[in-house]
Amino acid sequence: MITSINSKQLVNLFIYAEKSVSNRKDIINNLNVYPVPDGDTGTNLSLTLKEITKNLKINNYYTLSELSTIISDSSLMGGRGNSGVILSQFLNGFCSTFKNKKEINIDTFLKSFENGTLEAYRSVTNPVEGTILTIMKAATKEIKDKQNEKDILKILKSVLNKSQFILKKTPDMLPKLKEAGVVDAGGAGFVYILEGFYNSLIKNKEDIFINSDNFTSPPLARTWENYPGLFGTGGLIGIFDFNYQAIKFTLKNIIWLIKKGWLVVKIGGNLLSIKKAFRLIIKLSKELKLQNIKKSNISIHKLIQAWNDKPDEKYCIEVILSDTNISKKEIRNYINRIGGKSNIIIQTNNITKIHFHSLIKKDIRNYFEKIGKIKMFKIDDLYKQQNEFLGKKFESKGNNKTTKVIAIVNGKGFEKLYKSFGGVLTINGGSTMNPSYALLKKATENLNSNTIIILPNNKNIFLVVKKLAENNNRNIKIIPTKDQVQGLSCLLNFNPDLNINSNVEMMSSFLKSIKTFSITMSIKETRIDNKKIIKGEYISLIEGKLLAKDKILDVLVIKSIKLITKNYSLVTIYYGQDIDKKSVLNLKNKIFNSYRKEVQIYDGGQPFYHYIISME
Amino acid sequence: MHKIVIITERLASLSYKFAEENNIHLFPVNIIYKDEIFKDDNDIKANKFLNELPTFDEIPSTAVPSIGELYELFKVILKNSKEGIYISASSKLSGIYNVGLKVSKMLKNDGINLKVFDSYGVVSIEGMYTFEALKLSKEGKDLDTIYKQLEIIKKERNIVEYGVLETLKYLQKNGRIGKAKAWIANLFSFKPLISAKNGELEPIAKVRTNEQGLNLIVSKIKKDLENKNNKKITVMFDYSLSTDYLKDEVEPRIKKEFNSNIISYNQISIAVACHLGPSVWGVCVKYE
Repeated sequence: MITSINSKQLVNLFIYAEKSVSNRKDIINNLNVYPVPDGDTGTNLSLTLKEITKNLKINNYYTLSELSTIISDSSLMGGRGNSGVILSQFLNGFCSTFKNKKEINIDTFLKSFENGTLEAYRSVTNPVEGTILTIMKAATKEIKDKQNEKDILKILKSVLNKSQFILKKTPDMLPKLKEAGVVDAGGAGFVYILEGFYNSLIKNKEDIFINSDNFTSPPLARTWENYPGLFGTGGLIGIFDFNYQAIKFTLKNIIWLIKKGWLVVKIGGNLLSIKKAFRLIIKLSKELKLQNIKKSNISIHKLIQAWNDKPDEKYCIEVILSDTNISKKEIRNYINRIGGKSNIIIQTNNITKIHFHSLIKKDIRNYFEKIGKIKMFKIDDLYKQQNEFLGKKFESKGNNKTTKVIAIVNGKGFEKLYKSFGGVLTINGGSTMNPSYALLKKATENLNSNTIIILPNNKNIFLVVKKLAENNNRNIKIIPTKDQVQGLSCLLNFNPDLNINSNVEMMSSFLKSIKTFSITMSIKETRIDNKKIIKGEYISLIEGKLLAKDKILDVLVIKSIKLITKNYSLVTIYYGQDIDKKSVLNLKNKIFNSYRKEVQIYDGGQPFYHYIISME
Repeated sequence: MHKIVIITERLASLSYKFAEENNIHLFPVNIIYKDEIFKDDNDIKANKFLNELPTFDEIPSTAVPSIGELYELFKVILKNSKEGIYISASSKLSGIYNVGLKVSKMLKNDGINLKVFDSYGVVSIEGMYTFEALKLSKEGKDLDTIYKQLEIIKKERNIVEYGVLETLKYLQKNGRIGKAKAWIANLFSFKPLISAKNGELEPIAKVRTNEQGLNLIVSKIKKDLENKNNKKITVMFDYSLSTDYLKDEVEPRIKKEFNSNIISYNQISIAVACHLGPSVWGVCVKYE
């Protein structure tokens, strides 16, 4: 039993704390999400603690007063980053408490933590909960609650448990943590320090060293950590499920990697590109690995869903109940009744853990409140998670406050480009880019939004969409885009979170900055703008007028670019369906050699026009 | 009368030459590349690192100096003066502001009065505030007045900057991408046009070319000027590897459109380039 801490034990406390944090430096660093710019919290805390321990020699005898000075001065001088600075302030308060004592008894121990926490809070201009401060506060409170305990070791153990528990809650206190699926890095660091403190006092090496890794970097398959089930977390079913999902996940991504690599090989078609493909695979697997490490705190279920196509069910619901009389079967029946899928229900001792996916979230909590005591209840929006993970903005079907865009397109590639922006509905205008009024009307009705921007992408339908906007009780605004390329330039600055007028103003400002011409082949002998065109000759058209003609496609492109006199710096080529990508690359080189302009290539997939070329 | 010492970091885009000529004290932050720590503590190194950045295997990370380091440095700088102002990078983008505050408290015990001003920016925004502090100090204003003046400028948003980046990659990798995170997954290539608002990075628009960026920046400045009585602007340019585009296109356009006084061309620090990328240009404007 340890009733007080002497100076020799205090030295050990810090030596173990430094080792504990330094060994877990990378885990802590990986938790950083920059709610406050801190750089690498793990590195900073490790360096701060190292500054202390380098001044403490194990076999030296120090008085508590000497230690008080050494620890607070070293941490102050060595304090790095926000977390290091806050820690140094904590230690300042901590050490000043026992400075004149002969030993640290339980009462002094509490006061040291109290003063330390107070100093730490004072040192931050805007203290935020969900950070290292919260852990310090919780640890202090736990010591206070355990004041009747005579063994400091037992107190420390319960402090450590409580701190780990609060650390797990930090994502609920700070939305940015929740978004990233991590606990607070500074808080994690403090937990490791407490773990070091605890471990340093254990006499018997066979006693269990509490491993805080479970709370800072849980294995991929965790959906519920607080209550260990049969055979560990999640129980037997959880383990099988995890392994199955993990194998599926790995296989799926190998195929994706191979697909990407094969694409590169296909393009080149010679020995050099196999090297390129290899390099690309290495690069992609590095990125994959990086994603995994960063997101490894998200349970595997969420990770799988992020890589899959849009999940059918919108919500992922997790419940932990105690004191329920309802059987697993009855719960399963309820879930099936409300259309829930992928349900996992485990009952051990008095605890029932439930996990399932559902399209709805209404009234579900009420049901569970009726059948038992809720220990945990969590609803995650899978759509939101998936798209945040993929970096896309998602069109949330239920929300009619955000502005949406309807664009008329022609070509699979263009459709894909337009859809890659969030909040866009594309309508296939066909080769004449002329959808009917009825089709357009139906589209606006199906779109769950009261504010709609239309990109007609063709002069011919200006009147039609104007009529549509006038005869509609929704707020419809039209940006007079003359072609799909101009539409893309405008769409680039569409922001679904802004109101419709700001969007129209911003998007319209890009109408003038682009000039587009299209290239096709004349299918018969004809006259355009008083010039004779032979069948099979290539012609370039700009705003409905003939720009140039030539028997050779690439020559025509070069000629046409020259005719557009204003000084543009970027040429973009959208190639049509059935165009060989190799030819486009050749053309790109020719343009660059002739004009030294930047050239970008996109797959437009449009029929009829070989190339649509824009100059910006 | 003691001179008021003016301090800022190399993050403010000012060159050591400029600093020396104007009696400003500049210090570098730490750049960590492959476990080694570098400091761009003179103009030759600064330029060299920036030019080498695109060839590095990985994007270096940056770290602020420790309290002890900064305390020792400031003690030396303020040795003979006892009064100074430290213009720091935005507290929302770097931890150095907090370190500065701590050091300022420690210096108080040594009888040194150091005020720490949160510029709510980096690069030439910080540089412009520093230049303004210098101007006020030359006019004989005391430390408190200088600090209050800077606070007023900050409150009225009279120093702004608009910049065009080549890519979001660096911002994304080093984490300070903020609201521009929504721009990441985009099949259509673009250059981010950014500004700073309330100390954080503010994404303004996605542009396809530098020209579009310049046009948008000109229209933004025009809009800002609608609310100002004095239409005169003071300008600093930020560049990274080359001043060509700024000299050939941006400066003539600014001169043509506005009643402007162009003070300097500032090369960004490699510490900033690790976050914005090695290919950026920006226009910092001070309204009167």
